[in-house]
Amino acid sequence: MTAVTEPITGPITTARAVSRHYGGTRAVDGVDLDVFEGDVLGVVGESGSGKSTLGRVLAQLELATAGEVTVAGRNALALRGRERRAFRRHVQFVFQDPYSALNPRRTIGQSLEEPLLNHRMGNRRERAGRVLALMDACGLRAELADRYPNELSGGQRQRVGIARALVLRPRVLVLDEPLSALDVSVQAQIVNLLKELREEFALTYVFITHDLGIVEYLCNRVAVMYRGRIVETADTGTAFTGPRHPYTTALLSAVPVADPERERRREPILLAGEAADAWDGRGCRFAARCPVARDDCRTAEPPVVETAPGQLVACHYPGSLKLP
Amino acid sequence: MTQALLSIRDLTVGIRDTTPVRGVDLDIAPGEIVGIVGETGSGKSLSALSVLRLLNHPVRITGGQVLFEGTDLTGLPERRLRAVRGGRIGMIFQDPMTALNPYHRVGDQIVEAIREHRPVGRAEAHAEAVRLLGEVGIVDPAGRARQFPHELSGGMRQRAMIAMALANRPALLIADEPTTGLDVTIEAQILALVKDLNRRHGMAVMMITHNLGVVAGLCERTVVMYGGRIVESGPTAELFADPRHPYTRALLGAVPRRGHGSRPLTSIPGLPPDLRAMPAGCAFHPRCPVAVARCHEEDPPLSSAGERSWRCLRAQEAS
Repeated sequence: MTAVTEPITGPITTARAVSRHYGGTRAVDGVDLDVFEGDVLGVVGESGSGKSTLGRVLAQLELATAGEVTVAGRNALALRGRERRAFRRHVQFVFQDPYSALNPRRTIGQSLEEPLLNHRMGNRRERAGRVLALMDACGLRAELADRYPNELSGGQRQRVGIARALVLRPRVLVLDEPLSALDVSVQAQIVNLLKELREEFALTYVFITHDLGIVEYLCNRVAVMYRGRIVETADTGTAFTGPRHPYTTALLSAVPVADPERERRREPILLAGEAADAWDGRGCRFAARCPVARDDCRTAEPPVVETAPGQLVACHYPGSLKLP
Repeated sequence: MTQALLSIRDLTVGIRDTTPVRGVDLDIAPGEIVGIVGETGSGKSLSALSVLRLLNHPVRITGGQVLFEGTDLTGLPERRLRAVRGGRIGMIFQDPMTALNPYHRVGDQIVEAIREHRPVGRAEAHAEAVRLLGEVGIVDPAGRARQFPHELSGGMRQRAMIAMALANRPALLIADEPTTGLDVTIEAQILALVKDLNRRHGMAVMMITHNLGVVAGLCERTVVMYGGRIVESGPTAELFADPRHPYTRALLGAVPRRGHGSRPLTSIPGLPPDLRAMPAGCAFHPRCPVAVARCHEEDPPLSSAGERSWRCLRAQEAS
């Protein structure tokens, strides 16, 4: 039951020109992304931005229709058969609603053991030991192993979802809105758990969310998606204080903060229309809603420019919309 | 406070042998925006639905009064209540399809809403409907009025529902998680709209939400519910700066806030109470960091100071 531990140089997982189209719908459309070991990368965006699809492609739950996904330097999509399966272990996925991901007729213990059986890892005793160790690490009492998913609370089920993702000792967890089905007080429990687990198991997270408060709190890097594209990638501190893409700026200005003092001063930049509005396929995808768009934004695809070390912005006029 | 527009007195709601709302008292003044926050099972949505008696069997009001402009809505005949619903009180929901009929054009639904309450002709009502759709920020309101709800995006449906709720210039808007599930840029548009209507028309708002950011930005007064009770209320700025109830304190600590750094978030152990096994004494005691033996037995009485009130025997120790 050993994981691949050879040291790697460069990013632990990357996307290169990755697209995922469903017929005419371009859910993900030409994404480049580097995730480095130890990163907690927040992927933010509105519904339909492609953030969940990108996460599923990174975790190889779905295949890209174009482009390349690498894990530890190897092209994950080129692998076949047993090698591919062995490789998929390294990137595991945590679902928004763990209930839908758990078999209702299996006990928690059985569900947690299943990935080990699928990968033919350990003997019965070793598997049971691994399951109990992970339940403990995830704050689940051992007696819950004999329970069924419907007997658990939402928070407990999310703990099971996380434990199940960790059973195969992955290096990367892709977490798809893991908090949005939970009450605020329970969200805090899960966030604190994720922080502990990252330390304990030296994990890298790709954290997909629409909650910018959580990103600021938990993530060291952030990628902002809009209509299938990443429009800005930066260190969280840089992005939150000096966003360079107008969409990032508008998004940050729009988030209500749980602080009446700050709220009194906050002036949201109100965007016209919606992300889902018609787009003729030319120029910048955000141009129709962008308060600072110029003529060429509507005709020419914006290049990706590095506006500061590690800050990549897909915009013709980066920095032209400032936070109020 | 001036004469209350809405005055809920000792409201109790029952579902079979459980009591999800247990004696709620709440006043809303004309033009005031009040936020009601709480988690699943706190009773916040049921309290709001009770105002217009939108509860479905087996959920029912089992006690108390809902005085609106001096009339007790709990005892009003259904026919007269219908004149209030969508008239003096508008209501919006998280899911716009709760209010919109999928088989009718959006414009026609607003026309109906207007004509149910006012003696105006169809053409005039239609013009008003288009004007309302424009007012809530829908581009091409005349064209959208001809469409069916499924032809609109989620954000647009939400606006159409708001336009309908506002059709008769209500004195009170009850909003039950109106922006939950919407994207933040759309949420910002909707909240700006509510604020604007409040300012321009003096419309009072009862905003039910779990989002403390929404409350902080929109509401003058905040009411915190837990286990079917109001556990704390007060002016928003004061309540956020100096919460009295340990639950309010924990809730505020559970949300990451700017400048919070990487300190662990306050996680409240355990779960919101189970209706079928409501703890005796203070409902929060099993999760409370400062509870003592008395909290297990005594129902905390209402304490108040100025505009603030709370139900906790240990409020001093919590701060």
